[in-house]
Amino acid sequence: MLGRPFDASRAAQLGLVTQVVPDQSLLATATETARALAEKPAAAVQACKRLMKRALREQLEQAVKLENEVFAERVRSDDAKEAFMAFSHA
Amino acid sequence: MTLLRSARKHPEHPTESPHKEERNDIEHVRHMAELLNGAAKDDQIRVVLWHAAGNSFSAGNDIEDFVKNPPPPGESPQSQLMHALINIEKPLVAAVQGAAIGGGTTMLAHCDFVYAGESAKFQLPFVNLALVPEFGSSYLLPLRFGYTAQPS
Repeated sequence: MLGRPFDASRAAQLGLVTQVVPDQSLLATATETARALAEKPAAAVQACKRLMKRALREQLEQAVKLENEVFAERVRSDDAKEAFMAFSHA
Repeated sequence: MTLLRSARKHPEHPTESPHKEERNDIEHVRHMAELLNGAAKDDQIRVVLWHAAGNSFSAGNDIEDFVKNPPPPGESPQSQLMHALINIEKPLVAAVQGAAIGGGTTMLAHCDFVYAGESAKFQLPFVNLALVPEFGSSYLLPLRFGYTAQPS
């Protein structure tokens, strides 16, 4: 809620990031994983993802719907107009 | 900003166009939803690789675009992108370099593998802009981080 920036190692600690890699090998590492996944039996990979995400799905969809309603209200608020103005002049 | 590249089995073909803009606007959001939905339907595509075309993964939404095109509560390019991310059954592999701000961070919660360069920076600045989290992050991130954990 404080909206402060955080770095890659903190993102990994929090479970948002799989692995932190040196900047210069970032794309090679991600590409290597993408290639390895592309070699797996596709239907099994997709079924695996479907199963792992199943439990969250209903609540996730509800969250998105509610967030969009609240976001639409906030983005039109006076507070937001003021914040956007301050941001643009920063 | 970001490029979605599709890994086919043999050989790998980059199929999609890069976006050089670092900030999201409504056109870019619409384009990303189309790319993801297209990848979901294409039997030849097995994996989506998502990475920066420029220096930053995503510097966040264009503030002027929020003023010009404020997302409505119902269907919008933003909601279509959210559903594309939720619905795609093919693995999403993200490579984060530079800044990942706002949606650049929240969209990562939908990816299956997320690699970050050591100098990458993340931020969820929503309340600072008098806004609230999106892309399902109000649900996914407390679940993933622990409710009282603070990113920084």
